[in-house]
Order: sequence, then structure tokens, then C-alpha cells
Amino acid sequence: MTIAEVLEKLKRNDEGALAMFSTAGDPDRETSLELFKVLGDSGSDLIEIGIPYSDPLMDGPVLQRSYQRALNAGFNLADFPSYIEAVRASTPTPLLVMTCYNPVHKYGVRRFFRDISNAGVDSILLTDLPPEEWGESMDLARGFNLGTVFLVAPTTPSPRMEMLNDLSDPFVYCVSKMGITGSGQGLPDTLKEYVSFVKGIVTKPLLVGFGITTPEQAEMTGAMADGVVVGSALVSIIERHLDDNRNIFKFAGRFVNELKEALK
Amino acid sequence: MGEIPDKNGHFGIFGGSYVPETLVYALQELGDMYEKMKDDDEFKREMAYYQKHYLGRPTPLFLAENFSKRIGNGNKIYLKREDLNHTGAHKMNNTLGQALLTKRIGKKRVIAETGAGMHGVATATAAALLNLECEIFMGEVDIARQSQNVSRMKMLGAKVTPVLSGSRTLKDAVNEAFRNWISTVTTTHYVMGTVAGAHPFPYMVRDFQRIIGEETRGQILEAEGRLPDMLVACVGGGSNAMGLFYPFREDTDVELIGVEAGGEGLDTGKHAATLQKGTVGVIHGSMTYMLQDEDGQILEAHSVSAGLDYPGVGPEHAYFKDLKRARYGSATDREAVEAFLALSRDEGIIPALESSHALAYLMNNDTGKNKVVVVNLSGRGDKDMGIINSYLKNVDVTIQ
Repeated sequence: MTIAEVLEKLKRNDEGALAMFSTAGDPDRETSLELFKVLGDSGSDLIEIGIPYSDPLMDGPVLQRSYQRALNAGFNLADFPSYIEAVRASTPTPLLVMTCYNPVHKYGVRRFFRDISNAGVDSILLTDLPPEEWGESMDLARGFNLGTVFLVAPTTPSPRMEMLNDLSDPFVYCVSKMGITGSGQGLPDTLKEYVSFVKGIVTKPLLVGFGITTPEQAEMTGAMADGVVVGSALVSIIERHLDDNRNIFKFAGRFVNELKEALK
Repeated sequence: MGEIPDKNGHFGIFGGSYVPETLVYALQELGDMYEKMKDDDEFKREMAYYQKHYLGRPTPLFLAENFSKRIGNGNKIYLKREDLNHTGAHKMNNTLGQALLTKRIGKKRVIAETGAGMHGVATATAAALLNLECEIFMGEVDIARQSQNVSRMKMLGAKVTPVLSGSRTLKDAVNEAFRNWISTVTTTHYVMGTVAGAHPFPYMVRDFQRIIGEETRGQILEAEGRLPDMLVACVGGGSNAMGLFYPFREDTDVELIGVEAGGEGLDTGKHAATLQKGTVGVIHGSMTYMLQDEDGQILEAHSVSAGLDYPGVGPEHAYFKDLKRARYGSATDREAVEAFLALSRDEGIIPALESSHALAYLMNNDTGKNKVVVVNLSGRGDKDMGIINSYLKNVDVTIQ
């Protein structure tokens, strides 16, 4: 199924969507491949795969360390399409690739879109590429049948939000708060007002991320939107169990289960 | 050369604004505000007042006769004395402008990155003057090698936050400043210290620094009755160089030479020669030349001078390079230290290690005969005493 189909089905069932994020190659290639299978098997409705990057502007210390572990373990972009194929072979859950723009630019935008699309990626989110800088890349993405997911943030004015909604496909990613990923300060008190303001403008499915670390927060946020994205909280599990992979899978699986139950 | 950059901050293929959505609105607002302010008479009056009475501008253009003899061949080397600017470097030209702009926007807090500490000191100074809260991000490595500037920033009332990520130098301080700004953008202005970063920083900072070249133009015409043959300035991010070059960009007989940090040598991999050894990519919100590996991961730069130790460069320099309007060379750590000692002995002026790279270029390259050359002496070298002393303990450098 595509991300769009999954989201539509969940909506019909009145169920919140769960998108789990983890970094390709963290803590190493094999463990991360197995982890993505566990995420799919445990109830993640879509999987967000992060490309490790040396200098991410929007990520806090948890994801910075995650990227560094993956890079230290030998992650390289040339291997990424076959990596995606391996994830694809282990789980039917649709895949979104999230990355900073520079690695994509260096790889070659056209070649990157072609290779990941052929490998089975559904959509992409380029966190530091606002629509103004996409240029002809937008047509390239469409040409390779890749969805283009955009962020909306608490600072996004409404006319701009309409524009982002038009370009975003198959969903809009709503950043819950002013801040970077994994900043660990919970969710803002004004979240409900803010999300309902966004819902008043955005017509595409809306997934909310940043700061969601518990099933309770997932339940509360899921009730406001079409689903949630959870990243740093999962990566923290990897970090806590670097000495034993089995515990990564065990605790990650349990965590995803609990999140999914909270969204039903 | 037309209107550069375009309205989205592009210098040809370079520049632009590659930032997360959270920052897009703040940058647009800043760009709009700056567009309005730059032609506002009251803002211009205010700038002019502080430039004259607070910074001590105009800074002199000094004919360095002894140093000229060292270079030889009848060349006349003039020094644009940005080291005499308040706080001891050109950085204050920019921080004053951005701090005044911050007041106009109505924000009460400023943050900044710093490498050598000069931009941190200049930001802390402007913040003290204009009563703004101030936090400076500085790599742990730079804190160790520029401790005097850390004390100055604290004395001025700024909070100095050590950056422990990555190479713990300037690049990582910029990352942390951006990350902090993402969380605080509604109340805080980010005082970018150089002509790099996302639009509108490259052209706004250039505009605040172009006073260097504008003054130089009048001063050299008065001294020589003609324009110079050559302008030389060091390039890290590139703000002192662009400040000097920009007003001469249409004067194609004036050769523009930017000098990058050659570190231990361009073939050692330990340098910060972004324009000569880098490739095109996105760093800190801007498309430009940068040091990166084949996967687009940013590489660490190296220079004895913390202010040049940066793997990116301002997009307008990338544009000038590709247009061949400016030429970019380099000086190694050792050559810079030699030039540091030479100018100190020749002229009684202790130059910043950064500016020493520009002087070193003249000492190590054939500049022709009977040329009129202006070097941007972008800062003074007091801050570098510790580095120079420890360098000289390990390396034998003698000056004729």
C-alpha cells in the first residue's frame, strides 16, 4: 500500500496514524535493518528513514549522535538504494525518506530520486529545502512518482501554509513547537489551539511531530490530527541498549505497540 | 553586474535560503525589515552617528613604507586599518548594524556564533550599548585558544555557551546558533557574523561592511590620485574581504584577491581553502563552495587562525570566483605567522592572525612592479599572543 492509501484506510477506521522515525545505519547496517522490520511488525503505519548527516540544523543531540553512530559504522550514500531495497524486502510498510538537502545535492537530485524511487520509497521530506528552492526538482520528484512532504511550523503564516498544503503530498508534517528534534521539553500548552488553526487551513492529512515521547502524548495529539511522528524517543531506546541489540528490538517493539494502541 | 542578489538571495546559482520551515518566516521578516531600513533616513543617521562617535570611523588608510620595502619592486602597500575600529576588528561594522536593526524589529535578545571571538566580542559590545540580552555560541576548541576574548565577552555581560558537537569550532558554533534560533526566533535575532548563511545575511552583512571599501576608495584617490591596482584580504566566511571588494566590483582594472587559510598546505587535507579545494553544496542555509566528502558530509577545516577555520564561504565570493571577478589564493599557517612577525617589526602594528594571511600572500607571491596595493588589516593581533607563542615554541620561524 502507498502512504496515501494507508492514511485513507486509517481515517475510515477512525484510527490515528503512527509514523516511526529511525536513522539508516544506526547503530550499524544490520541492526538498523532489523529494527525497521520490528517497527513495521509492531504497528508503525509508515516508516520514516533518516539519512545520517554531519551537520543537521534542525536536530537535537539525540539525532546528532544517531547520525554520528551511523556514519562511524560506515554508512554511505552509494549503498542507500540497496539499503532501501533490503528494508522493502523485510516489511510492506510504506517508506518516507527524511534528509537534509546537501547529501541529496551531492549525490545528484535526479539520480537520487530515481534510485530511491526504484528501490521502493514512497515519499521524501527534505527538511531544509523550502519550496522556494525546489525549482525543477519538484517535477523530477513527480516524474519518479515520489510524494513530497513539507513541514508547517508555528511560525508559518496562513497564506504560506496554503501554499505548503498545495505542494505537500501525501500528507503535511506539522511541527508541534518552536524547536529542534528531541529537545525533551514535552509539548506546548497551546498545541491544541495551534493544531486546530492548522487544520482550518490544511486539507491534506496532517501528522504532528516533535516532542511526542509517550503513548499518552500520542493519544492526545492523535486526537487532534490524523496521526503522529515519533523519532528521538525511539532513537533514545537504541542509545540505551547499544550493548545488546536484542533489547533494542524488544523495547522498540513494545514502545511502538503501546503508541499504536494509544492511537486506536 | 546587475542587481545581485535577486529577491530570494541568489548570486547566480549560489546563495538562497536553505533552512527548515521554522526559520523561513523570520528570515523573510528580517529581509523585509532590512529592505525598509536600509533607505530609512533615521536609521542611516543613527548608523552614521555610531560609526563616527562610537566605532571611530573612518579608519585610516596607512602607507606601510617599511613593509612595502620588504615586498620590494617599488610596490606601495597600504593598510586599511580596520584593527583601529572599536573592539579591534571590522566585525563591529556589522554587529552595530544588526543590533540597531534588532531594536527596530522589537526583539530583545541577540545570539551569535564566534570563532576567534572577535565577532562574539563585537556582538556582546553592541548588545551592551543597545541594552540587548546576548548569548554567544563558541566551540570548545576555540574557547581554549581564544580565552582572552571569552573573558571580554563575559565582561561585556554576554553569556558564553561552549559548543561540544562536531569539530567544536566555528562550523559547530554556527550549527548551535541556528538550533537555538529555531527555538527562540520570535524573541531573538541571530547576528550572523559573516557574509554566509541564508538570505538575507550574505547581502545584509556585505552592506554593513561595504563602508570599508567606500572609505578606501576616497582615501586612495586622495593619496594616489587613482584607484589601486590590487585589493587583498583574508577570506574565512569572507566579510572583511567582501566589505573591501564590493564597492570596487565594477572597476575591472582593480584586481581583487582573497586569501584563504592554507593551514598545513593545500595538499595535506588540513586547510580551510574552501574556494580552491571545495565543491558546491549547501552549508548553513546557503549554496556555495564548501569542504565536503563524496557523500555530502561536511569536512573539518583547519587553520592556526580560529577566524578562518571554517569549511564554507560566503556565496557572493563563490559567485565572484566563478565570474573570475576575484581571484583566490592561500597562505599556510607558517606563512601567516611569518607575516604576523614581519608586520609587527616593520610597522609597529600587530596584526590579527587572520589578516596576517593577506599580508603573507604578498610576501610569497609575485605581485609585479610599482603596484598600489591595499591590504585589509581586518583586526589586531592581541588576541593571538597565546597561539603565536605556542606556535613559536614548536616551529622555528625567523624573520629578516
